[in-house]
Amino acid sequence: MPAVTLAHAHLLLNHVPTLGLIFAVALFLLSLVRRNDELLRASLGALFLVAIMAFPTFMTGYAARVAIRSHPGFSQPLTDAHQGAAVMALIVIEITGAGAWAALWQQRRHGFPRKWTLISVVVLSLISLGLVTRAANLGGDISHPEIRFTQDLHEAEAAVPNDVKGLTTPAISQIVTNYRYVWPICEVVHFIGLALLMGVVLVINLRVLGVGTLKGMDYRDVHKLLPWGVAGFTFNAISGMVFFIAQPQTYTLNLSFDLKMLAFVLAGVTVLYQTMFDELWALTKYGGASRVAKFMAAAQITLWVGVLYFGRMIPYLTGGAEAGAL
Amino acid sequence: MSGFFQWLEDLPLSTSIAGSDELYGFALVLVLHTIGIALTAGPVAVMSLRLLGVGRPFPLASLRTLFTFFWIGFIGNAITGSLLFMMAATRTGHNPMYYAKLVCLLFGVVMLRRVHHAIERDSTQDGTGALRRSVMAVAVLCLVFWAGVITTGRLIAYTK
Repeated sequence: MPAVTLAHAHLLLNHVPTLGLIFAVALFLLSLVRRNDELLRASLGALFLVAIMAFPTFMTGYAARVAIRSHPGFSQPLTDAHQGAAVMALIVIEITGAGAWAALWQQRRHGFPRKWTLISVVVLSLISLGLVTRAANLGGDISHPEIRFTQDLHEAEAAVPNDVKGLTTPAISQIVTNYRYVWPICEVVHFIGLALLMGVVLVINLRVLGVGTLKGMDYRDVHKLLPWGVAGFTFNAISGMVFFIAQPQTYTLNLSFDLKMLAFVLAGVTVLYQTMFDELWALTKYGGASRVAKFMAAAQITLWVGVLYFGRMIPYLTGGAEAGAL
Repeated sequence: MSGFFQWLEDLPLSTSIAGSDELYGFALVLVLHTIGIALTAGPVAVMSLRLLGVGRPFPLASLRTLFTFFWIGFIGNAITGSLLFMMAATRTGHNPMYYAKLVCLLFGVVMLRRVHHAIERDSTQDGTGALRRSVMAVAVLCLVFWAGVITTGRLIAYTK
């Protein structure tokens, strides 16, 4: 067994949606109180990054489950409860991240974010904090009986909140199995999202690279397409999460899926770069971009192609390990 | 037709790809087909959205390079799509969804040629003005048919 596993990665990454979110929300509220635009931009970027990192945090949780399920004292109900609470937190964190990105986009487009966008992000980020705190607390209960409200395992299992039970892996898997059209519909949505996302990724990045007639576009105008790319990404994220939660055994400990997630996170960082940094915004018609901007553009195209490649190779490039039933 | 489909499926090319090493045979064809979808449907989506007014005022003429990417993806997918069909001809050849995909593809390409025509015609002007309703209708149909290509393409695996 390797010295560092995805279970270790989960222990490391789970600090991002917890401590990272506290930091990002505090920064965000401070920027609003001080009416500081630079601070606001940084805090919105931080919220977006937390949302990106929440995906691998959630997904590595399944590898952590595989690692501890044969340990004495392992409790499936408590693990399911943590997982259900994590699903709920993940959904709201992702909506918060989308709101933060929309605010960043509006700041670029109009010079300032819309008031309703900021209010939504305030409300959503506070709800995210509450949900992620609960998920973290339930996660702590799995391996730390000393911090449970009771030392009696059965009593702790009986106290699992009802609202998280419907969001556990078996419950969602059962819905997908019972309604056979859910999976094919998600496949269609996933591929339409892919086309939309890749179209926008190609246009924006080929413009930065100065390819052909696309060089005749002003970056500010090209950027208006970005919400459509984000819409495509949202389709992919929702359908992708249905696949993952319905069949975690296919994706957990799968080398190709792990590489897909790595490419996805890095691609997210390049998207943030293109939204936050000023130099691209000075790119007028037929203007040339800097080397860094071109590198980021080439990297983004490569990373999204990597996401496609590794996504399609999930059944073939497994890496040998098997998660078994989850 | 069943005999023809069986003959296609039994061709050495079909059996060698279907039976070759997993990473470089069927899987690779599948990956290339997916990248082809990104190169065809992606630019189609952006060009159609621009004709519907998204991203105005960037000039329509600046999108002409996208046609190169589209045709690279289209030719690539014609090749990989044919290979995928040959490998499962007896099953896919009897699936109505496959023919629905071909119909969507045909109309999708026809609509795209009209989009191309609109972009070329607009290139002679400043390219940022309001577009006629007929052009916008073509853009909507283009989006619908290409969404149809993806939908029917994905559903081939789930229907008989």
